[in-house]
Amino acid sequence: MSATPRHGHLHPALLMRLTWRNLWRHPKRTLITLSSIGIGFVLAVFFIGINDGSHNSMIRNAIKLGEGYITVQPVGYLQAPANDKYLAEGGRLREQLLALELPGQVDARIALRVLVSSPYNSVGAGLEGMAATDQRAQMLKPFLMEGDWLAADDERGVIIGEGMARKLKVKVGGKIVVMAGKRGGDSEAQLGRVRAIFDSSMDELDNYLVISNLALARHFLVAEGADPASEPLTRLAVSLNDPDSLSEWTSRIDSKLGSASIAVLDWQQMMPQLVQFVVLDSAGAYVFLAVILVLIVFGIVNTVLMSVLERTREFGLLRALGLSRLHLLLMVFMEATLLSVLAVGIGWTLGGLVHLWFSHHGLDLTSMLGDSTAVAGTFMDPVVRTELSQARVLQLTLIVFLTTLTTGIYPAIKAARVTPVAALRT
Amino acid sequence: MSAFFRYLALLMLLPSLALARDADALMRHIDGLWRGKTSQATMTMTVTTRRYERAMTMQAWSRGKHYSLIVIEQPVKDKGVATLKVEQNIWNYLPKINRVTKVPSSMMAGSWMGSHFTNDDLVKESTFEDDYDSQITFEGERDGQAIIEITSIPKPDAAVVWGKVVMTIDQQVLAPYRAWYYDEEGTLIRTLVFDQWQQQEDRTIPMRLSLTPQDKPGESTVITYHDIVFDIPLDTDFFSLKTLKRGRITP
Amino acid sequence: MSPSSVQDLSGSRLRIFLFMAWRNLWRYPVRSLLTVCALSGGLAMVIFNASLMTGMTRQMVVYATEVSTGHIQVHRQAFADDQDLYATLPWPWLEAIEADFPQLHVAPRLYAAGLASTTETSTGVMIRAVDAERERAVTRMLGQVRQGEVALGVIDETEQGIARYGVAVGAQLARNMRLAPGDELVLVTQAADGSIGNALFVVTAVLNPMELNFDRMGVVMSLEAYRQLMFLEEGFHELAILLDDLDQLEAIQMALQDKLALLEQQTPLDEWGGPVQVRNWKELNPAVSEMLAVSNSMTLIIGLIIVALASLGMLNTMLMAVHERTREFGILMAIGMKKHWLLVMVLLEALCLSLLSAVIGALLGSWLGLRMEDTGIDFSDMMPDGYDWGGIIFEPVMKGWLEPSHVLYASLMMIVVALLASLIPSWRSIRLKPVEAMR
Repeated sequence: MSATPRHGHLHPALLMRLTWRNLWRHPKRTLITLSSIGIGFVLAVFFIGINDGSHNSMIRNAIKLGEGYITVQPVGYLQAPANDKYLAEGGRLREQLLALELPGQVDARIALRVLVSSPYNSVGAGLEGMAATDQRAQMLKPFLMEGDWLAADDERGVIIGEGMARKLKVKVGGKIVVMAGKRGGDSEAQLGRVRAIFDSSMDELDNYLVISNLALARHFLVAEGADPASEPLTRLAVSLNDPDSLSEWTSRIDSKLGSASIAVLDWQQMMPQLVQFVVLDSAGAYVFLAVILVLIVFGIVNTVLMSVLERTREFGLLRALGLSRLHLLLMVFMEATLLSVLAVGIGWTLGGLVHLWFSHHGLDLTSMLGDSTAVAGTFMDPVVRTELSQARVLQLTLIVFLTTLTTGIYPAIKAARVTPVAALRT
Repeated sequence: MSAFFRYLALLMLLPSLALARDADALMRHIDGLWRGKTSQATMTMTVTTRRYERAMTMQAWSRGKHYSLIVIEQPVKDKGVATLKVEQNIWNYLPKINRVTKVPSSMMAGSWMGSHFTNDDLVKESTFEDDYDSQITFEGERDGQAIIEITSIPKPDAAVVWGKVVMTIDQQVLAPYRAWYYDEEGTLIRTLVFDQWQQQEDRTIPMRLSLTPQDKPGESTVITYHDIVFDIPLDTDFFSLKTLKRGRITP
Repeated sequence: MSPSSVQDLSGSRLRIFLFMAWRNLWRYPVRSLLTVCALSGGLAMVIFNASLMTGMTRQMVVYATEVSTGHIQVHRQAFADDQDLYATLPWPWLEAIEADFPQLHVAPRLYAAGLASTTETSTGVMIRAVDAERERAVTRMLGQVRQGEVALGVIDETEQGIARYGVAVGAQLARNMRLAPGDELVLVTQAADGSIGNALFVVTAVLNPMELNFDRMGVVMSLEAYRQLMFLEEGFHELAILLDDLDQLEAIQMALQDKLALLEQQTPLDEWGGPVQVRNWKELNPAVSEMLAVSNSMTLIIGLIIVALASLGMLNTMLMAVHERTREFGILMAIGMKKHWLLVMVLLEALCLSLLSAVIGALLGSWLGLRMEDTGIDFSDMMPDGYDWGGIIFEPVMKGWLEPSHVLYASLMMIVVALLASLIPSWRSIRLKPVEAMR
């Protein structure tokens, strides 16, 4: 420690150099610590990434299968859905939404509760009129078992699930009668031709959903008294390219379209059960974070404290040479901080590589989960890609730094307590 | 000129169009057989299922296609239960609890009064001609009866579940023998048999209709008319919820 | 040295090494304590996580069974497949089963499809008739009240002297039909004899969501009211059975099957209703039981990973301990210590560490788990109606459940993994050459 100045003053650059050297006085010990923290970090990044990836895929799928990030629909529909609650001025609302030029997609939809009959059976069903470009249509297309998606000008075509097809005993090309009650009590019936059958392995879709183009579904709204010229709809589903802009766009759309009769809702309001499921399941991620924390705390304390205990003599000497308590404290504290910077650096480098690999190639979970990937009205992609949001990166980094800072204090204080006399003992 | 030659002559002139019109006229005739402008009938409906056999006697009134009212007289348990049909709506009056309930569209496919007819059958028959393209597909002797066979195919956009309805009619008196209901793949779903013909004023009416579903062997619903009169004075007011609630129903 | 004394000696040597290992640990008490903290912290996390997951799965089982399904159900096949109204089990069988299985709680139920009307609206409903007293002993269905108070007897009479029975309805049905306690409900069905079953009812309670279908369409009434509406006297459709001891599920299921076969021999059933089926809740709710299987394997996987992470701390400590004592080991070897005894000594050190950690971790984890058992996490602000899984609706309160066997397995797992982690440094220690080590 020849570089120690006389007046107890330590230049920051010198402090850094000292710290660095001290760390590498026992390179093996430092390396062991760094690698164990690093490996722990990699595992944490990987599992939190998988956890977030599967949750986000479920949320995305639910939103695409459901009613978009933001839903514009009649007030009161959510509480008590009914076929006579519709947006009479659907066309105008859609134009207004499009005029906002929001980054995403606006899907016009007509959702009705209907009765579907074949010569063999009849079942209650949900008729969903939508365009082929609709987000939900995009989601369901890969599930088609037989037949093709509806052509844009197909006014009779319907697509039904495998469960409903079995119950009604209809095949592709067969016909079904779709009937809906009207407010007055009459009913309106329309013929539907089955163009395709899907199997999503989600019973609530396979047994219940009837998909058509808007034109077929609109007949029922017209029968309710809507004016076909103003393109009546039951809802507009907005999907956003950037999910983080949800609250911003919800309030912007609400201020533009919301009224006493038109409600603007976000997906959390539309699908509260999903929010809860994700919260329940996120508990696992926090357990991981806690374990990482434990690991880092003990890894760093272990290393730094060890080196402090070994260097009692040295610290005594330094104190005797005039280094103030504060600077000694600072020096040891810096050791802990530097160690954690290195650990986080290594962790992020390795973790980042692991993340890059799995975010690109994904992890196939089908063998583990089997058919039970359908949960709470949505499903998990069979191949999960890790996802790391900025918030998570920040969270992980902050956790590591804050724990290091707090855990670095104890050895530092211990070092600062060393009196010059200690140097004289063996 | 026999029907056959008339058929042949028409076939050579304007085949499909003329034939179709002829078949439509026949179907219209069949459709109106039990109806007239207005009608009043007493009938017994016997429902046989594998679980029970049950006979109900009822009185029925109708006016045109769109109004009908049916009141159960026997058995005592169901006495006074009435079904009112106005256009596409069906209401039931239940005297035991003195309430009128509307049959929602979701129950239209349900059984009517426990029979093999659906509520929808009651509503749907009024639009047969609108929904089907009918053609004469056979004319001549079959099983010792001179018949006309009419095959009705639903119009492309018609909201009906059937794929084909085939009916045979007597050439002379133009009363129906049988009707077969098929799905689109040509599987027979149910058969309707008409017999016990009776001369009523200007027309011959089968007084008994038997419906047998193909997938439930041994089950049937048989409606037997005891008497039927046509063109009695009946206002549309009669076919109202007010009449239903009055309890004792007379025109 | 005679062979017998070798054995003697190795016994005492082991004791000596154990003593040495223990002493070595406390040469650096802070480091050892830190390792113990890391390991026990990890173990506590594993136990905590397991208790959360077990709590969740237990809750699922409770919801899949005690709320409305029961542990075992008995049906005729035609009822299970097509809700055939006539596929009943004879009433005397109920008493026969109760007499033969006094340890079981059984509740008979009847079902029917019907049309429910108010003055404004009508809709198709699913009628479920229960014996209120027996039902309360088997499920909590009648206790899941959101609004009103369940009363299924005769409530009052209309002016014409028609008795009105009380019914409880599902929450979504109540919302759709705008029903509240006190409202009149007309039910029209096709009775068993083909006649038109119709009766007046009074809604006395709105039930919390339990099953998706029931929530949308369910109307609960008494057996007596059902009999007057449906004229179905012969028997019941469903027998819901609750066991006090779930471990006996399979045995009871078998015994019931035998008993029912015997009853069927005594009173043959009609052929249309099909054979009698005895199914347990897992067979009735495959989605939930699949989920349980997945979450059990998830608990294990997560546990392993956490323990592995924590064991990295162990590896760290032991590597350092070996590294720092290289000189010391060299000396020990130079004075004639056998290499494998060195290995044993290092492993014993690791064993001491992990045993100590296991005890502390198990205690800490159990304490955390027990706390979760008491308080739980409440999500009801976010999701008042709970969430559904495979048609069953779960309450939005998450509770832990501490399974003693989990604590044991997790501790054993930790000890094994920690020992495995310490094998690397131990191995290093015996590869040392005395001369190099002493340098």
